[in-house]
Parts: sequence; structure tokens; C-alpha cells
Amino acid sequence: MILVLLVVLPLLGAIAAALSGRRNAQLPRVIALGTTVLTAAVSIAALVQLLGDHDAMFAWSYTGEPGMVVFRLVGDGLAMPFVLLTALLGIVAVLASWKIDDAPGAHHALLLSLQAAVTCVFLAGTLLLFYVAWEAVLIPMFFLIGKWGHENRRHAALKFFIYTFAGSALMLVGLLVALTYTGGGAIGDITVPIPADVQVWLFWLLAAGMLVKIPAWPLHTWLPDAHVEAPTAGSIMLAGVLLKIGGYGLLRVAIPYAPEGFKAAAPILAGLGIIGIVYGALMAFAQSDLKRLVAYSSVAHMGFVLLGISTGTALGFAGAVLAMVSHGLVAGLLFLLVGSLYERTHTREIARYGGLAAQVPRWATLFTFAALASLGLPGLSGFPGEFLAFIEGFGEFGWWMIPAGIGVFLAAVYNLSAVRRVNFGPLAGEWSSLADASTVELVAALPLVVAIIVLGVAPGLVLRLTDPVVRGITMILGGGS
Amino acid sequence: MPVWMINLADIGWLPAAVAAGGAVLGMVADMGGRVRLGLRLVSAALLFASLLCLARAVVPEIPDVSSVTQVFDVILIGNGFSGYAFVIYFLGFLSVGTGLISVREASRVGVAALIALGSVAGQVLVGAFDLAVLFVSLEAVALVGYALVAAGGTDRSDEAAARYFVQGAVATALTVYGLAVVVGLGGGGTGFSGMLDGLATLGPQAALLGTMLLLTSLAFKIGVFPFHSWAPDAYETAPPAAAAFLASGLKVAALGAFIFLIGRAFGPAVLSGLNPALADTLAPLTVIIAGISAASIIFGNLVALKQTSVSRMLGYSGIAQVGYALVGISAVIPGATLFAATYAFGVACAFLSIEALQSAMPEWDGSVAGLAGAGRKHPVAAFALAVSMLSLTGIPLTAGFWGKALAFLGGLEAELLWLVIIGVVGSVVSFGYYGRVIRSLYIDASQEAGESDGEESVAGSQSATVWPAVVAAIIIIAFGTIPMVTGLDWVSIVFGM
Amino acid sequence: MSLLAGNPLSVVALPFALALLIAAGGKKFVSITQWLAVVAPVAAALAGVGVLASSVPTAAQDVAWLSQGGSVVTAGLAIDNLTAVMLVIVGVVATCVVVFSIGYMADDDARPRYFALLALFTGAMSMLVMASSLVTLFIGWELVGACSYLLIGFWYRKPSASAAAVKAFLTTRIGDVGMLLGLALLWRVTGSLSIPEVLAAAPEIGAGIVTVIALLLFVGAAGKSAQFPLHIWLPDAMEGPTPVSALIHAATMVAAGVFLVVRMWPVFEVAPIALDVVLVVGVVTAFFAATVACVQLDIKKVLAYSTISQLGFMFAALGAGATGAAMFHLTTHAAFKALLFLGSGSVIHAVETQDIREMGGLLKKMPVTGTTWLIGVWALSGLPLLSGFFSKDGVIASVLHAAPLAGYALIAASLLTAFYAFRVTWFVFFGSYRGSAHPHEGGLVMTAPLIALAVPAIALGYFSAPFMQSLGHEAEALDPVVAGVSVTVAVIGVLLAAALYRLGVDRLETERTSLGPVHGVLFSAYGVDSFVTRFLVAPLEKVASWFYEVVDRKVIDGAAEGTAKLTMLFGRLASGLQTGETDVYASLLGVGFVVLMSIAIWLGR
Repeated sequence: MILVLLVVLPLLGAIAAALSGRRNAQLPRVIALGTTVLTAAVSIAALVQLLGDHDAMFAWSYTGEPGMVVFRLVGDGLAMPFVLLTALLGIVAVLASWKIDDAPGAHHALLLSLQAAVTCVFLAGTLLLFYVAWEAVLIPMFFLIGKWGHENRRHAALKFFIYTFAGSALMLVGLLVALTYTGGGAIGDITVPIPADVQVWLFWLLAAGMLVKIPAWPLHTWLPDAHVEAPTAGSIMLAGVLLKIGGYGLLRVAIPYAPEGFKAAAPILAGLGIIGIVYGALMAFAQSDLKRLVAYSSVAHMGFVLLGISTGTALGFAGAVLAMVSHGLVAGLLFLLVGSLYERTHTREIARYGGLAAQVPRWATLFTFAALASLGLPGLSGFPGEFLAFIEGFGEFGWWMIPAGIGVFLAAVYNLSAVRRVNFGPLAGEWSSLADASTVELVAALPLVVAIIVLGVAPGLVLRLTDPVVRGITMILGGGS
Repeated sequence: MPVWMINLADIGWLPAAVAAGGAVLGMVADMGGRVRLGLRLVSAALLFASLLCLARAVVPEIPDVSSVTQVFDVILIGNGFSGYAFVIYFLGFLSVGTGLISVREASRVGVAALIALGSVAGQVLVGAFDLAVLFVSLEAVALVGYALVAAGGTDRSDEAAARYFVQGAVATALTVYGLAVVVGLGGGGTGFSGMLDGLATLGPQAALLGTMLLLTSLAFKIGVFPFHSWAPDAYETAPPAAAAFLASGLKVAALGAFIFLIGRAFGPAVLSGLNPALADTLAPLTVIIAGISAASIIFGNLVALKQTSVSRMLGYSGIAQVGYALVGISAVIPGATLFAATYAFGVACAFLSIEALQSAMPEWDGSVAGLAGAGRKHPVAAFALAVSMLSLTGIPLTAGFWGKALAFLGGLEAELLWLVIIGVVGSVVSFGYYGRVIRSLYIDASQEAGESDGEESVAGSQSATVWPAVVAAIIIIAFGTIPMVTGLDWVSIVFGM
Repeated sequence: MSLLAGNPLSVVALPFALALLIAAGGKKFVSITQWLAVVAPVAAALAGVGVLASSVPTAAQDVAWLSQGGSVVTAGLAIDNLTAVMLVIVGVVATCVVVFSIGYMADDDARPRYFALLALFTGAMSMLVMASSLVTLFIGWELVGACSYLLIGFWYRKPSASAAAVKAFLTTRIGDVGMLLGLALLWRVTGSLSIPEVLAAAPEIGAGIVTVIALLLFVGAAGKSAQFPLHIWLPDAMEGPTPVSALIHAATMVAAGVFLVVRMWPVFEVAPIALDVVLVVGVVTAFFAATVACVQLDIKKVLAYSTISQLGFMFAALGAGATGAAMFHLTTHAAFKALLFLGSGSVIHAVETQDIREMGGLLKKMPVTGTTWLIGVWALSGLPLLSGFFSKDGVIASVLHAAPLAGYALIAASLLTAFYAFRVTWFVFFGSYRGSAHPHEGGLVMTAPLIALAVPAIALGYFSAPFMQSLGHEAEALDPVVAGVSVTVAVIGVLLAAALYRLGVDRLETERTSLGPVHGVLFSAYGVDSFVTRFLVAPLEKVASWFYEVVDRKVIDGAAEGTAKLTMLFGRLASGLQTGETDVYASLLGVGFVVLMSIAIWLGR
């Protein structure tokens, strides 16, 4: 029941926010904040329940006809880290959009329904529910970009929708194929293994939607456009959570349903991951727009996720999960900061910044911290996941990891050059009256900072949860060995 | 449930009688100059007829027996399609419920009566179990269609109706040829079962020719490529409320007839059970249907992409939508019928919202771009329109998703992966034009936000015509969301699977 | 002591906690909290001394840091004698530096940041040296790099400082990538990253692979320890506050590379080719950096190149297989180079410039600084009786033994060392003062650390035997021939410097003109820097923006957008079928039927 709450609470909050928004501008914000905090509390309760559960999984099902599960939510060790991440970023997103004046009711309602949809993706226990939630994510995001976005939002909203829809429509075909072969609608209920020759193309059908979402090179170009045009809260959710459903989907659906197909595809996936790592970093380095820079950095980070998954090893999967959770936190923090800066300066042009450390020390400290986290500094959350992906990738693919290593280097290049150009040097004259990060922003940033450090020091917190599920997946891959 | 109600619902011809009676009474009232009363009578009759069908479909106490009439083979109500009849009557009810503001006042009741009679013809059409019944009801439906297109009363609509009629005549000729081959040469009678016996006696190419002729004429009625050309003109020039019924009620009836003809007579499943040799002879039909399905999806989506008028866009997209219905039709009838029903609600909702928007914004030229700002000025109608667009795209949480998912599932079970992939890619392309409507409604609102204040009151006074669109939207959302929790079983009961 | 020695984690955790406390205290409490920063290195030193005194190594405390599905990457800390020595070095130098900084940085607004970073650095460095797992080592390795980055860029308003910070991080990062690959390869062949396990498995690894591993690890070491050609960051790193240079860029962090090789010695031991590479790189670096140091005009630059050169000595010793000599030189170098840097800090603090042309005669004005400086350069030059003499002779003797040619090069480098050391000394402390400020000693917090560091700089040389034994090496007697040669060249160097520069500052001009183009080459450190800028950095920017504008926007995104446009185009073409003529439509119906029928018949053949 607690799982249903996780999905329903934000929906109720969305309705309340939408209704209250007509009369009062402040009320929807408070409602949204209250809802997200409450949801976070519920997800922590769910975590406690999971930790107390010996099967390390708990589900809530509604069974329609006898024997046919139609609605099923599963909160297991693979889902919970992402559910918690979503809950946390939900709060951050609400705080980040605190100052939105244009129809705050509708804005927060969309934000909350987005949260509900994404949570539902992570908790989905049936193939159809998985797809329904997956696509449901698009609708609020479409409106968030389209209505509260920046200059080129009309094009970006439609592009985002159609591009990702194209991938997920193919994924739907894959899901339906899986359904016709296995019969049972519950995810993981694979009583009849799918024939190996079918798996080969089935995997790519399933992966199509996920690779677009991740986004894997060369399916990434919707991302910078969507990010740059999206409002801050939209970017936080987009980078923080939405990209994760791609990697999550690979682990949850694509690999278990088509293990043979995955094995055949693994080298290509690894190649795409490695290209993504280098390419994303190189693109980030080329940017003159700060938000676009952060957007491209996501391509690089998610390249590590893809690399980790493609290894097919337990530690590789673990690394992918860690890298995803970490990227959620770090990208969330970066977009929060970039958004707050844009709000004050109305520019994202890196060249116009400079020396902000002197003028806005709190903001600059956070930004430097986020950049260090983003470049994968050990001790912060980015390192363990990318490290695992790297060493496991080396184990599987050997010297192909050299370009990935170059990517590691380039990550430092673009992050540090961004910090240098934005924070360091003499203060650009036009910002001499720039205000520092507000209390609301600090409150939003603090949990992210803490989580980044905690996960960096003790990644085992996540790995402990994922262990039974990852064991299951590797068992499927290993043919039971 | 009282016995009399069960008995009432068990009378197969009752919905048809009620609807036809309502049409007559409405005309009488119209003759007395009581236009509103006439409309109310017709819509009440349609509502009652639809509820009768619904009760027959969902109330478990009513015995689930098909009542085939004695003289001609036609199922007027019974297992497998009373829900379908419900859809036709209910969509007629919604169309009349708008008050038909877009039709000249003098002919409003007449159009309403046409819709009622068209619903009756539709019920008979989907229930046809006999080629003669099929032919007659098909012609009746066609005539209602010509008249509805002409109801716009403008030169353009007259022209479109005339064109429609000319092409319809060609189609009728094909039907007659088909009947001549199948019935005349085969000599096996007009009933579906007897007809198959007759076909079996024919040479394989003659059998193929006969069935092809019949299917082609039906293909014209449902408007698939390459027999589609009447549809866009008709949808654009007919008054939106009339187009709503034309595009949904009549279309779904024709689609039902097509699906059931395949299901009851020519489907491989049926044939291989009855007559394997004939099944072999008619095997190319499956390929032909898959082919026109793919062509319709590709053509309809591509051309719809270039349209600026919302109605015309719906006309072209309708070609593609019928293509989806045909995906895997031969394997999974339920997928096709469910898709047809959800499509009907989607397109009806769209035209009903357009009707509401057109009466609320007289200055609107019917173009997609002209909808800018409507989301803020006329939130209710705009919401309904947006919902219908999402449903037509097949986005989850709307009824359209289940329709498409099951249609594609059918395609996969028929091992038509290539067709399914064309279908999903077509769906993606379709958001290019459906999404543009949503974008115009909501995102482009800011462009003329300033001038909107004066029109709030107009929107309020038009609320009487908005409710059918809202009802349709609510049904779409309900059918989109509730199955997530309850499963599709009850949906399949309603939609006659 | 045993509390700290028995709980290595506390040696790491304490500084981190202190760093947080100092940062949280902010400007308001910094005059109190800055003293907290002293606690961190003292703890590290105590832990080291505790282990050395009891000679009971602290067993590794390993945890399963990353574990999934049965595979485990462990992390852990342990203190053995090697670690203990490093801890003592780090602890002692850091303590002196922190105390010195309290005086040196007294006027700076950002002291909380400064002292928090110093504490953080101490913790990270302790973690690096105590690591019993390569993961832990790598974490510490990167964290000290980050602290170094933040401290070099401490005065971020100066564009040169922020550029130097980025350069330092990126250059060392190149090495780190090599090291990361080395770790990955080790993980692949041994299935473990625990140092004892890896070392135990080292002899079984195939010769080719172990050479690659050793070379990759050495790439990491070379980055951190500024070996040619990855040395370019260290001279720029002098943009940071001078005490930072003393701590990070002279005594501790830059020595981490040497430590890494010693730590992973069983891997290197079985990879002779890798050792040859280490030897060559070390000798080249030692000689090359020494030549550059001879012409620099910035007091810190001289010390920076001197550090690079001395690190080259250590690597040369490692390449020759003499880990004990390398470690011993590391230790004495830490003492006298930290002393020299702090001394230069004291001078810079007093005269407010780093240009040696604007100094002079400071021995009289700053007697404590001057005296301790002389002790430092005495040790650095390898003149008899002080620590450097003993350690450097050990290095030269071992290299001569292993590869005579390399040994001669090192002897030449020694000559240059003595030369540049006294060249600077001459300009700074002798002659007459040429600057405009009023130089004076900086108070007890600044002089006490100098004196404290002078003691080991003098005396460490006499503890060679116990030092070697604690690391498990035979104590080697001084080779009289080597000692004689080395003292001779050192004396020649000193005399040469005295002879050339006795006449005053205008000699610097003569130096420039008489050396001609050679001076330019030397002054710009053989142009490695500008080579890197021109052929690596600038192209990277060009390649990146080309890729963005052409590949990403035009090709990849163009393909996506192009698909949409193409679809629209098809839409227009398909619309052409809709001409609007009734008879066309009607015939389309007929034609359509005929075509379909033909297909059906063809299919049904």
C-alpha cells in the first residue's frame, strides 16, 4: 500500500496545486513542497520496510481476473534507490521553481504529476504499466518545456516529445513482443524463455526507447535542446531522473527479457558508451552556454552508465546504478545552480561571467563543489560508479578503455575550465550587484551536497539494496551459473 | 434488476425502433417549428437506444444469446457486438447533443434525424450476417453520409457531397459486381455461411475476384488508401457536429462491418476451420489487407503533416487511423474492434470540441495556427481537444493507447512485425500534427493573451455545446486510466470483443 | 600515540572533521580555528611515530567498499614502517607549515578556506600513504590533487593563479588516467586491488603484462611527482601561497609518486624494462630541471625546478633499484626543501616580491631566515655534514653502480644544483638590498617552523642506518670515491656561483646576453610549456568546437531534424495525389481496385 501512496500522493498534490493556483499564487508552492516532503517521508518509510523485508522486495498488486496481474507495483532494491532519488529531486525541483510567477498552480501540478509518473516507472511491476508510466512522463515534461521554457521552447518541446516518443514507440513493440512470448504481464515473470534468435532483435527494440532516454550517442541531440529550453525545475527532473529510466529500463526489462540479445549487443553498447564518454565531454568543452555545457556533460556521464551495463557483470551493473544515482544528484545540483544564476543574470553565456567567486561566494563554492563532483573526484558520489564501470569495462573490453580514460581526463577539462571561466579571475563589471544564493536555494542544495558526499564515502548504502536484484540479473545472463 | 428491464433489453430491434421513432418525432416537432424540442427528442431517443445496448452488453443478468432474425441473417443485438452498437448510438447522441450550432437552423432537426437514422443503419450494418443486409445497410449509411456532408449548406460542402456521391456510386457498382460474382455465380445464397459454400464451388480466381470486389467497396466506405479521397473534403466541409458523427459513428459502423466480415466470413481462422482449400485461395487477402494498412498509415500520416486546417488534418489522419485498425485484423478481432471504438471516441471528441470552439470563436478560420491562445480563453473545449489529440496519437492514460496497443499486439500475433513497426513509426509522425494542435492551444497562448478578456463571457454562454466534448474526453480518460488498475476485461465487454 | 597508530581511520577522519569545523567557523572564529589545523598533522605524526617506536605495524583494516554479486573491491588502511615514515614526514612538515601560515596568512580574508583546505590535505595525504588498497590510495591520490588545485588557485582573482590551478590538476590528471588504467589492468589479472594481495600476486603475472602495469603506475607517479614531460604544472603551481608550495609542492604530495613506486615495488621489481624507463626519466628530469633552475629570476621558480630535479634524483635511484636510497633522499629533501620554501616565504613576506633582482643583503636584516636558508642550501647542494650530503651520495652511488652513464649525468646535475642554489643565495642574502620594502623577520610563528625544520635538515643524515633498517634495507656505508667526487663537484658549483655573481645584480644581464639564445631556451624551460599550449591545448579547443558545430549540430542533429524535414517533404509529395478532380478520384477507385486485384492474383498463383 505504501507503494501506491508514492504514486498517488504526488497526483493528489498535483490536483490540489492546480485547483489552488487559480486564487492564490503562494498556495500551490506550499502544497507542492508539502507533498514532495511527505512523499519523501513515505519513500523513506518504504526503504525501511524494504530493509526489514527478508525477500528484499515487496509488491502491491491488484489482481483483476484470477491469475492475471493487471496492476502491480514492485519496490525492490533496484527500484528504491531511484525512488528515493526522485523523491529528493522532487523537493529540489519545487524549491528551484519557487519564484515562478506564470501560472504557478499549473506549473507545480505538472511537476508533481511528472514525479508521480517517474516514480511509477521505477515501481512498475508489469510491462504495460511500465510503458504507460514511461510515456506518461512525456506529457507533463512537454508542457513544462513548452510553457515555462526559454526562447526556443516551441520547437524544443515538440522535438523532445517526438524524438523520445520515437524511441519508446519501438520499445512498445518490444514490450508487446515480450508479452506475446511470455504471456505473463508481470515484469520478470518469464516462464517461457524467448527464443534466442528472437532475443537478438527483441533486445534492440526494447533498447531503442531506453537508449534514446539515456541518451546514448548518437541519439542524444534532443537532450541539449530540451535542457537549454526547459525551466530549471524541468532540467533538474529531466537530467536527474528522466535519463535514469533509460538505464533502469535496460536493467529491469531489456536484459532479463533478452539476455542472449544483450550479450550479442554488449560490445556495441560498450562502444556507444565509450563514444558518449569522450564525445559528451568534448562537446561540453566546446560550449559557450553554461546550461548547454551541463547538458552535454550528462551525455558523458550516462556514457559511463551504458559502459557499466554493457559489461554484464555484477560490479558493472552496480557501477551503472551508482553512476546514475550520482549523476542524478550532481546534475540536479548543477542545474539548480545554473538556473539560479540565470534567474539573476538572464544570460547563460559563459564569456559574460567571470570572477563570481568574489561576488557570490556561496553560489561559487557550491558550483565548484558540483564541478568537482561532476569530474568524478574520489570521495564524492561520481567516483565509485565510474570507477567500477571503468575497471569492469577493462575486464570485458580491455584496451578499448583508453578512450574512456581520455574521457575521464576531458571531464576534468570542461568542468575545471567552466569553474575557471565562471568563478575565477577578476569580477566582470556588470555583476557588481549580483545577489548571492538565496536561503531557499541553499536549502535546496544542502541535501544534494550531503547526499553527494555520503554516497561518495559509502556507496555500499546503494549497493546493499541492489545486490539481490543484480545477482538475479547476472544469474539470468550466466545461464544459472 | 427487474425482469421487465431485462426483457426490454433483450428485444434486439428495440434500440433501432427507439432511434428511428425519435427521428420521426423530432421531424414532427420541427414541422411545428419547435427546433429545440425536436433536437431534444432525437437526442433522448439516441441516448435511450445507446443505454439499451449498453445494458445488453454489461448487465450480466441478460442472457448472452445472439438473436439472429429469421428472414435475413442479421444480429441486431447480442454477444460480441451490442457494445459496438452502444458506441454508434452514443456517438450519435453526443453529436446531436451539441445542438448542431454549426448547421443552418432550418435543417438542424433534419440533420439530427439523419444522424439517428444513420445510427440505425450502422447498427444493422455491423450486425449483418448476410450479404443482402450488408449491401442495403451499407447504402443506407452511405446516403446518410452524403446528406451529412451536404448539411453545411455552402457551395463547397455541396461540391464535396457531390464528389462523395459520385465516388460512392462507383463503390456501389463494385459492391453489386461483387454480389453478382459471389452470390450469382456461386449460387450459395446471401447468408455468410451459405455464401462460403458457394464460393468454394467457384474457380479460385473467381472467388478471389468476388471477395476482392466486396472488400474494395467496404474499403471505400472506411476510407483507406487508395480509396480515401472523399474523406478529407467531406470532413472539412461538413459542419463539425455532423462531421463528428460522420467520422466516428458512420466510420466505426463501416469499420465494424469490415472487421466482422473478415471475422465471420473471410478470416483465415474461420476459413481454415470450415474449408481449408478456400482458405488457401483467399490467402492473398491477408497480404492485401496488410498492404493497404501499411499504405494508409504511411500516406495518411505524411499528408496530414502538411495540413493547416484542423478538420482536414483529421480527415487525412483518419486514413492512417483506419490503417491501424487493419493491422493484424485477421488474427485478433478484439484488437481491431477496440481500436475502432477508441478511435471513434477520439475523433468524435475532436470534432465536438471543434464545434464548441468554432461557435465560441467565430473569427477562427479552422486552421491549427488559429487555435493559438484558445487554451486560455476556452479552457474546457481546448482541454477536450487536447485530450482527443493525445488519444488519437495513442499516448498512455487515454483510451487511444489501449486501442493501439491491442491492435499492435494483434499484428504481432499475426507475425506482422514489419507492419507493426510501420504503425508505431506512423504514430510518432502523427504527433507531429496532433502535437502541433496542442502546442497551438497552450504554448502559443501568450501571443494574443492581451485581447482575451472580453470573450470570457462568450465562452460561458457556449457551455451548452461544450458538454458533449467533455463527456467524450472524460470517457477517453476513464477508458485510458481505469484499465491500468482493473484490467481490460470490462472494456472488452463494452466494446464487444 | 597507540590510539592513533591503532586506528588509522581516525588519522583520516580527524582532519576531515577539523576541516569542516574550520569552514563552519567562518571568519568570525578563524583566529581560534586556525590553530585546530595544527592538530591534524600532529595526529598524523604521532601515529607514524607510534608505529615506528613500537615497530608493530598496524594490521590492515579492510572493508568491502564496493561489493556486488560476490565480487568485492576492498578499501582499507594500514600502517607499516614505510607508511609511518611518510606519516612522520607529512606530519612534521605540515605542522611547521600550518604554524608558519598563521603568520604568513595573517592578513588574508579567506583564512577559513585556507586552513580548512590544509587540514583536508593532511587527511587526504594520510589516507594516501596509509592505504592498504589501491582504491583507497587512488582516492587519497585524487583528493590531494584536488586540495592542491584549490590551494594553487587560492588567490582566484589572479588569472594566472586560476590558470595554474587548472593546469596542475589537468596535468596530473593525465598521469592519473594512466594509473587508473594500471589499476584496471591489475584488477583484470589479479582480481583484487588490495595492495598485499596484488603484491603477492605480482611475481605470477606474465612479464609483458607486469611491465605494462608498472609503466602505467609510473605514468601516475610521474604526473604527481612532476617528472618530464609531465613536470609543466609544478613551476606554475608556485602561484599558490608559499607555505602551500612548501607543504604540497615540495615535501609531501609531489613525493607521492616516489612513495607509490616504493609501495608497489614487487611489481616494479619483476619489470626490468619499466625500471629502465624510470631510471631514464629520472635522470633526464634531474639534469634538465637543474639547467632550467640556473637562469630563473623568481625565487620560487628556482625552488620549483630544484624540486623537479631532486625528484628526478629519487626516481633515478628507484630505477637503479635502490628504494632505500630513494626514500632516504625523499625524507631529507622533505626537510630541507620545506625549509627552503618556508624561508623563501619568509623573504617574500618581507620584501613583497618574488624577483631575486629586487632582493639582496637579507642575511643581515633577517638573520634567522638567512641562517636557516643557508642550512637548507647547504643540504640541497650536497655539501658535507648536512643531511643532503648523505642521501644524495646514496642515490648517486646506487645509480653509478647500476648504470654508470646515468650516474655521470647525476653528478653533473649535482654540480648544477650547487650552482643554482648558491646563485640564488648570493642574490637574495648577500650584497646590498635593492628593493623598496622594509624587510624584517615575521615573528615567532614564522621563525620557529624554520628553526624546527633546520634541525632535521642538519641531522637526518646521521640516522641513515636506523632509517634503512626500519624500511628493511641494509645500511650502506658511504662510498668514499663517490663522496669525494660529489663533494668536489658541489664545491665547484658553489665557487662558480660565487665567482660569477659576486659582482652584483648586473651579472644577470650579462648572463642573459652571454648565453644568447641558450638563455631563452633555458629560461622558458626548453619551451615544453608553449609546445603543449600550441600543439595540445589549442588544437583541443579547435577540435572540440569543430566537432560541436559540424559533427554534432550539422551531422547528428541534422540527421534527426533532417528526418523530420524529409518526412514533411514526403508529406508534400504525397499531397500531390490529392488533386481535387472528381473524375480523378473516381478513377483512382477503379485503378486502385485493378492494381490490388492484380497483386492478389499474383500472390495467389
